[in-house]
Amino acid sequence: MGVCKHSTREARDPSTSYDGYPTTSWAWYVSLPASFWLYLAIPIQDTNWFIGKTAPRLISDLLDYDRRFLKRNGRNLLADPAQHFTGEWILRKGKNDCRHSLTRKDTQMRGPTGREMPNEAPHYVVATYCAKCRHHFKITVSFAAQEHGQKPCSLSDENNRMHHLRLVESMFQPLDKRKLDDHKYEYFAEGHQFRCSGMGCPVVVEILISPPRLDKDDMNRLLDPGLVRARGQKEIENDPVRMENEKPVTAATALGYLRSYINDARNGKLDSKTGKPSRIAMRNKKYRLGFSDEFHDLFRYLDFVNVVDPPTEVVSILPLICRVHTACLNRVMANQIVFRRDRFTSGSFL
Amino acid sequence: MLEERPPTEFYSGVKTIIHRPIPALKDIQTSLGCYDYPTRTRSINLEHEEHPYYASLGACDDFTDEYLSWAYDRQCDCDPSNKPYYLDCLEDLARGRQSTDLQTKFAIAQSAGEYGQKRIHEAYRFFLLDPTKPVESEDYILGCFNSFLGSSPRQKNQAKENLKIIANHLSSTKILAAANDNTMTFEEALETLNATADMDSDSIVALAIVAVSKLHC
Repeated sequence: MGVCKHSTREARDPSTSYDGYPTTSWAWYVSLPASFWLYLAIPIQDTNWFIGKTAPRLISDLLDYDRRFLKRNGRNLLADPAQHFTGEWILRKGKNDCRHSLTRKDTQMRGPTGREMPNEAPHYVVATYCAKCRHHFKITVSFAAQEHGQKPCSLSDENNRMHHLRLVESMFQPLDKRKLDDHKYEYFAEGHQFRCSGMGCPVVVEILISPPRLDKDDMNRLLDPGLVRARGQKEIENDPVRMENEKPVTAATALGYLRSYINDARNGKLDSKTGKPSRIAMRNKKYRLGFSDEFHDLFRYLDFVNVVDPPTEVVSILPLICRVHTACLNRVMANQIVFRRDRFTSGSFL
Repeated sequence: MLEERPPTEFYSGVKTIIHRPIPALKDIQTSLGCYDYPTRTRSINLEHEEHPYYASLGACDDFTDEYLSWAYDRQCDCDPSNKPYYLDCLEDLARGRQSTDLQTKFAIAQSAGEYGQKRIHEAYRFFLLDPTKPVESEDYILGCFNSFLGSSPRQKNQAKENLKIIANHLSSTKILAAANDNTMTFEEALETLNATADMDSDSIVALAIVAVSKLHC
């Protein structure tokens, strides 16, 4: 996917009754870690700054927006203003477009629970993924810009029944950068920022969309029953003595192994004998039958590294995710908090 | 991904799935302050295709009339240049939903001198002007108006009405003044009184008195 070329938008007229918009497109850049600048080729999309949509409308458009078919459909259901109806029926989305079934990512959520209405918390984060197309959606609702006397829209307020959200900024990023080690945890393919038009409502909504973590090739190699069986069969034939009584695993089994490895890495599982982070010996039968030598790139992408154990010279995959990943995340989060404080001081928010 | 695998791929060696994903829609709605908002109907029909006018107003088709009216007002406040189009949206949705409240709202807007985009385009086309092209100068439009009157004097009232709509759309006082000009020609005055040019003054005065008394009846 190429970089969209659009001109930077002009500053909004501050004399209008709906003020407080960030007036420069660099607003997006400041919220990201400095190293990200190198890989960012970010256009800011021109759009109609006045047309808005209510929160239910935004949610409906979000659920129907399939960015895989953006080029074919010709318009961005989430960010572009609705087309004027002139009598000819408007195709809202293609028949193959995903109607997202968004699922919680509990460990990344920060939000109101149950029927509790948003209060004066600084922001809420709803981290989700679609169970069908596996895209990730992160919705951040911020009240950070709230000043004394301001009140968010609510169903009980006759004049401000709902948030009426107007697009402020959009951002698109090239897909080929997503596997870069420094940025894969913070990569998003598309981002949009909306601001509520309600008088006195400080809400800013940010939606970040990321593609599936595993690309189509990885998925195919992992899930195709024929490929999985052939892989297992090859391993059995290569070492018939050791693999006696073994048979090729199924795709579900291989996925189960992968899930175990990732869970153990995430939970910091330690080897009971050595007390060190648990390793996976690459000659391990389960590993051989499930992955053979075909997934080194995938495990590297998941932050596993190869180590050689000197006494036995067994090459193992050591999950790095416990240490480096957490540290990296902490660093990223710290950077984001610093930048957001700065932005808050300057009166704008991202 | 594990849940999608066929049952035949699972056997005793694989751990059962213990984690069931939780839908996030309620969290999103609650964060955006619209969880359980009042709707027209409690049932959800995913197959139903809503009218594009709802999206133009930034609303959903399950909005109550009250919420739809509010969405219309807010969209007009935010984007006044497209207000005529939003008025068309309101009119059509009011008719489609058979909503007296929304139809009343539309009628009130009309009586206040607001016109929908369709009516405005009709007004331009009445004078053979293309409403989708850049607006001609005021003098050009007045020239079209006068030219029309010259060829179709009997449609004067209709022409003035359409001219008024164009004047409102362009916020032109010059065009509006021409539309509100009630000056009559000699021939128009005779026609109004059912008189002829060769009648004497007393007869014309008598016809005028009759016309006025008919108005008061």
